[in-house]
Amino acid sequence: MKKKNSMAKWPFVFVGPFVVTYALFYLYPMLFSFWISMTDWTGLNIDHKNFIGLSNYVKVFTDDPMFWKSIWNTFRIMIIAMPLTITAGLLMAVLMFHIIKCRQLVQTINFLPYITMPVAIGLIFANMFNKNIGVVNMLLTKTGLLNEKINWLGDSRYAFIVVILMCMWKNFGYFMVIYLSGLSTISGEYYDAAKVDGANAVQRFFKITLPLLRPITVFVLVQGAIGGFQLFDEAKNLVSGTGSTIVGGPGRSLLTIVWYFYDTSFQNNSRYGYGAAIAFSMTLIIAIISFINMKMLNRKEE
Amino acid sequence: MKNKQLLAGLLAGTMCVTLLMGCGGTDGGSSSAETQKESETAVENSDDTEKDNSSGKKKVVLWTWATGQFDEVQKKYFETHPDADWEFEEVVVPSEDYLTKLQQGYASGGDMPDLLMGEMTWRASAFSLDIWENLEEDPYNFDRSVLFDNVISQVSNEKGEVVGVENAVNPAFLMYKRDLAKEYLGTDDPKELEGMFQSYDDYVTVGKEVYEKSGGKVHLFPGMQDVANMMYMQQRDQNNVGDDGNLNVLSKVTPIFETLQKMKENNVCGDLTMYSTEWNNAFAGESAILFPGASWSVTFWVEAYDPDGSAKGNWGMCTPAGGGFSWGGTCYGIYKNSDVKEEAWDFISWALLSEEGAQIMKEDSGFFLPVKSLYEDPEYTSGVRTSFGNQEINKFMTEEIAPNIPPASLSVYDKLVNDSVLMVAEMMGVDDSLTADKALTEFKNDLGGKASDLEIE
Repeated sequence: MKKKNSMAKWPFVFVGPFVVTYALFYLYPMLFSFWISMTDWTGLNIDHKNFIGLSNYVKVFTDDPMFWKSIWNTFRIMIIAMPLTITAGLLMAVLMFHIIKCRQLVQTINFLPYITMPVAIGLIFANMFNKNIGVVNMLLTKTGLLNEKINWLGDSRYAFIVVILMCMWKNFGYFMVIYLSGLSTISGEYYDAAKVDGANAVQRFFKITLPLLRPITVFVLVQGAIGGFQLFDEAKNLVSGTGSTIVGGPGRSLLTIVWYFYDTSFQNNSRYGYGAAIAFSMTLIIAIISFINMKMLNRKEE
Repeated sequence: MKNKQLLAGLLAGTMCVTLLMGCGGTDGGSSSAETQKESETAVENSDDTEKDNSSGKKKVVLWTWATGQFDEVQKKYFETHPDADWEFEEVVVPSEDYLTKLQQGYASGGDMPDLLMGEMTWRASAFSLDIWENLEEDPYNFDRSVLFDNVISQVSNEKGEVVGVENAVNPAFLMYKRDLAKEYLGTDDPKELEGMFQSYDDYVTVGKEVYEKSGGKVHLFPGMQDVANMMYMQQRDQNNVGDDGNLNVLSKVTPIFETLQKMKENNVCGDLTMYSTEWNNAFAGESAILFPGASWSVTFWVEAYDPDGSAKGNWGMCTPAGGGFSWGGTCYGIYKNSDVKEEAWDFISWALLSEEGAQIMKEDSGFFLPVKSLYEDPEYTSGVRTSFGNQEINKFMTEEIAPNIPPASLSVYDKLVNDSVLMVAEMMGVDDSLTADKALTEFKNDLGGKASDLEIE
């Protein structure tokens, strides 16, 4: 009994460092940020933090058109980019699954954009979509698809399309790898049985592959939604890549929610309190959307 | 068993010590502390720096986005000050992040520079931080009367204390490409061009002709933002904040958007975004004739982006419609908790207030210091640059433009207003349906979104 007691401390010793680290670097900053979000702390008045309750949150949700604009921008990019990226990733995974030669090479090539530095991606796309010297306009005009060059990065109507393409190019390789791992878990017996029953490739895809990949799709959707709401690097680097200093790009059409949070907290006169409130509001929105996502997909499964 | 327990204990202990060592550099408590505690933490940090410095030579640290600007100055400083037993160190901080870094460094009690910089667009916000030394007090005893009167408001905080020294007069004007001016405007003489452009409507009339004559290849200005920025800067003597504390900017920006609409309709401006790669290339290209610029633009734009044209002396400068203005500007101050205040002041006052420093700043960077006594020497204001041929640009900048620049009136909202003006100008450049009225609405919505506590009047 005595021996048992002397052993009881060891779990605490081993778990302790993690708990201490977690408390110091996760829990404390989070609680501190939450407290900041209920103050009027700004960089202009850095020595004073006055408690103002939920005023910042009330303002975020009821009196901040820029917040809603940034939500709309993020949502608009996400709602178009995510299905396209997931579909591209799934189709590529199915295609890759049946390739025998050079499979790993093609897989690696497709995965490379995901591990490329966002700054580099921003610069590459900024150059490709440059109005006068970009390869995209050159191809479109030389092939006769366009008579006049498009100002892709200077016009709010087109800039968001470039960000969508960037997101797709960057992420579809990652989704492809996730789907590939999912495909490898589906037993070949299902396909053999379907073939015996006379099902063609399309039928096998829709009746076997897609339903059995549902858990993967749920994961990818939730991941995609969270990643989509965290969209920042791509849009900011694209705008910076053009040399522009305008926050949010042309007409603020690329001002995503995280960029708005960053600008409010650290650039735009450093409104720390209000910025923290935006961050927690964003967390709330992501949580709600993830919850709805999972509920809807799980209900279908049931 | 005992050995195993001992080993496990040692390992766990090592992990904890490693973790705690990792945390050692940060004072977690300071962030939640009140003013006094934050200041104390900052002082403690500066004490740490002093300890570091005591092991070797002292260091005067400058956070700067203009790295290398003091290379020549400091070389000469140490040559002429053999007793100076310290080192000069530059830490690169981009201009757009500078204010944030200052705020965060101060709030967290982290490292701060000994020499502070303040850029014009966000200077008022930087001055609102209680980190600047009053340069009129001991041990500096700076005499504000040595500076031009119109500079004092730019280097003073809300209390009226002088907390910085300006690094240049920053006279701004129009620069033009002589070959294109001759071809499309019929002259490259600055006086004739000034006569041709008496108002912004003249730019519209002439710009339309240039566009038609060139078959749509040449514009008068590279982009709409260039004009918007120039018009905005020309009104910098009007504070963005009204007496009632609200944003008093509509009377300032309405004529800008009206002019831009006329210019858009008549193809006066190209579609280049300021500071973009294509905009940089336009200096060497043949797509635009007029470029608003300031004294620093000679070195950092014209000679950097158009080396061939500069070698041929293909550039000229003249006064724009609406008059010369001031553009940009950086001031330097001393951090209140620095432990090398006197060394930092000795250096910066030598560089920016002495005749020797002024000469190097002029020759190396093309900066004219706003020190009255320097202008008593005709040699200081004389001189030409190859890029501008035989034109006496130094005299032009210091005698024609600089004396007529009204003093800038700073506010903490300058950066926000400037950002909104440029954003809407860019939108007008690409969206034909955006009239001056719609642009104004867009501007109000945008600025209102960023400063929603204030009315926009």
